[in-house]
Amino acid sequence: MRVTRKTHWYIRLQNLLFILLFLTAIGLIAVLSMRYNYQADWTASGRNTLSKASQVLLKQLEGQITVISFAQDPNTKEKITKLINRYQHYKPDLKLEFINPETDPDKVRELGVRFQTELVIKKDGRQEKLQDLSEKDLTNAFNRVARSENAWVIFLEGHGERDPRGNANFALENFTKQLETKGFHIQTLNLSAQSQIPNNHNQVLIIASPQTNFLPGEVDLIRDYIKNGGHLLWLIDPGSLHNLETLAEDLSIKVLPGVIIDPSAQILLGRGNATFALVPKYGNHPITDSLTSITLFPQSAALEVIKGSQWQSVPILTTLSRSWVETSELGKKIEYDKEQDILGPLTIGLALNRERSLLEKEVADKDKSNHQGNNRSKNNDQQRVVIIGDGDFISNSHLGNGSNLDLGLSLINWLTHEDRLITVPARIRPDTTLQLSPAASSAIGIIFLFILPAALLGAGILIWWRRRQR
Amino acid sequence: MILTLALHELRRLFLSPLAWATLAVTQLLLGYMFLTQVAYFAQIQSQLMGLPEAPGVTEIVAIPLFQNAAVVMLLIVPLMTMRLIADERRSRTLTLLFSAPLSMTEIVLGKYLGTLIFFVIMTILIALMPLSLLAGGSLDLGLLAAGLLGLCLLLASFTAIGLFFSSLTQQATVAAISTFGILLLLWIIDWVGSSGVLNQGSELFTYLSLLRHYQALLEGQFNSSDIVYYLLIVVAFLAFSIRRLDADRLPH
Repeated sequence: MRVTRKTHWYIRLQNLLFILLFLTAIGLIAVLSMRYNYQADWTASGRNTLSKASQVLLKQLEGQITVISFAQDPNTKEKITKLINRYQHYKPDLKLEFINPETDPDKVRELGVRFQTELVIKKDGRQEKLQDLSEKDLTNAFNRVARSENAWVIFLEGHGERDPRGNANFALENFTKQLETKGFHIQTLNLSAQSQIPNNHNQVLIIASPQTNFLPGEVDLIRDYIKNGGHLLWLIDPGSLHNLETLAEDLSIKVLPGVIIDPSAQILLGRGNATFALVPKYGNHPITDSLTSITLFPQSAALEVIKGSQWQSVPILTTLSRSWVETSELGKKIEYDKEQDILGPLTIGLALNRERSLLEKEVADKDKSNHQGNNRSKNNDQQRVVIIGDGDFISNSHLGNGSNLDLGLSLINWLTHEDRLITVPARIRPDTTLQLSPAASSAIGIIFLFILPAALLGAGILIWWRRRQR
Repeated sequence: MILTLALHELRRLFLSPLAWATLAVTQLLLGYMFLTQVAYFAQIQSQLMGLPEAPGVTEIVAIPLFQNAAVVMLLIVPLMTMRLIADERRSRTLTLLFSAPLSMTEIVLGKYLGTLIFFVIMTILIALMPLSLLAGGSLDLGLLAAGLLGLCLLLASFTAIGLFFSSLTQQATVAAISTFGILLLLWIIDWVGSSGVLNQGSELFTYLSLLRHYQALLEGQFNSSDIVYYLLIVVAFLAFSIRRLDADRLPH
């Protein structure tokens, strides 16, 4: 072929075109390969895939969920992205947002985020916070944020109870606000105005430290509510029960007269705080399982269970054995009085439950017809009641102490049957043990560190030497 | 024909002490790293028992070994590939090859495959180390396979890049240096994305990173897009090499 200047030009043009086309094709294939990606998890424990439980939950979730992270550290960011990616595989409209806390401090304050790794999960104006980056916690947070719409919290009023909307120190505004962000509906109920207590499955009635006496008719209404299987949270402050003694009898509990004195609180919080009761450790109960620090109960009463009831009762909050119930006047000198006072450990909180099948048959039948729509499992068929010998712990002024808020939220979750925990099975690796005999381990060491390199080097030298001989 | 060329290339490699020395040195280095990981695992084994999702032997011993192996290969591949075509060009044997009844594609593929077989042998030697632990327990073989596949694909793309740079120049050292430079750049190119300098387009850099795709495989996650990425790198650089040699063949 004769090569002229012109053909040179042609060839160059042709080359350029080829390279352009070729790179376009490569890019196209790359894009397509990303779009039509086939994924498989090759690990024996399947740790790169979501567990069945999470997959099922994601399939049921409707509507967009946004996960917000404030992480700045690239490693943490990547970890979060990876975890969320696994979820996005099953729920493509799950959104992950990173917000820089330095440029957007308002948002941090608004969402109340404390740690870099903390995630905020938002759905339809509801939000959940999450600290641990594990599949179990994330899946459960998704579950909580997507809770059923009909969870109601009903506050009784009309007897000087703590006001769910009030901002006074003893009122409960902060707590109810927290409940609302979790998707609970708040309602107040005045029995003298409305002489009927609604009774739904995902509903709890709260009697928060009444100050004046209940009328006999009102007491009957509450007792009927309990008889019909309603859930109740009863916060009792020391002193009179205000005509609710019969309700206490129905629940088979007794309130000990007097205020709990806890010397350890005096040491920890300073003088004048002797009437605080501390609960540093929790028993094994769904309500207290998630609590990480102590809870504080100002001016609390001790509870006792009367034996032989149809209720299953679990003491969920118990003070230290150093504490006692002071029955005499709270004067300047507070001392343990052997004859009158009762020594701890004392129960502040009691969780009661009973199977609904134990209720009178007609009531059970009525209840069944009410709830035929929701196919509830057996566990859901429990009536739940919690009695706490203190109402201050969730009040505006004490909500921030220790784990008080967490305790309050998990109480409501348990009472309204919103505590279904999704268990994500732990992924156990098949290769967690390695037991090499001394002979085997030294053999491995010698072979890989000495014999193999020496043999390879020897072969090289041999060949080089042979070729030199020739 | 390609196979004959490949075997010829391989024979040539093993007749020189270079290949043997390379194998010996990598074996020594990685063997040492492997044994320290095994000792580390034996030390923390009892603590791991208590953890709910404790990592296993494969994760603690084999995966770091593969990571280290990739870094060692980053240095070794340029040295092994630098002379593939640059030497022929320098000693003017390239014209001889041109006159042989071989297409450029066959020449390039032959040389490529020959070098690749050498690296596969090296990978097998590396794989023997974690496999030897089967004497004292079980391994997560799926994860190990994913890691090995990743290492092989990584080496295949390294070699293709090395071959291309060797075809560009007469000087073997220049080829080695530029290969190393490009490999390192492709290794760390995702730093741009993760540093947050760019608001957009960081996905492109993340996609280009050789490390990212390897990392996924080391976690036991098989993505077809990762495999396609490596194959595209190989195809692209081989095609560029062929193109380059074809251009040389034409009289000026």
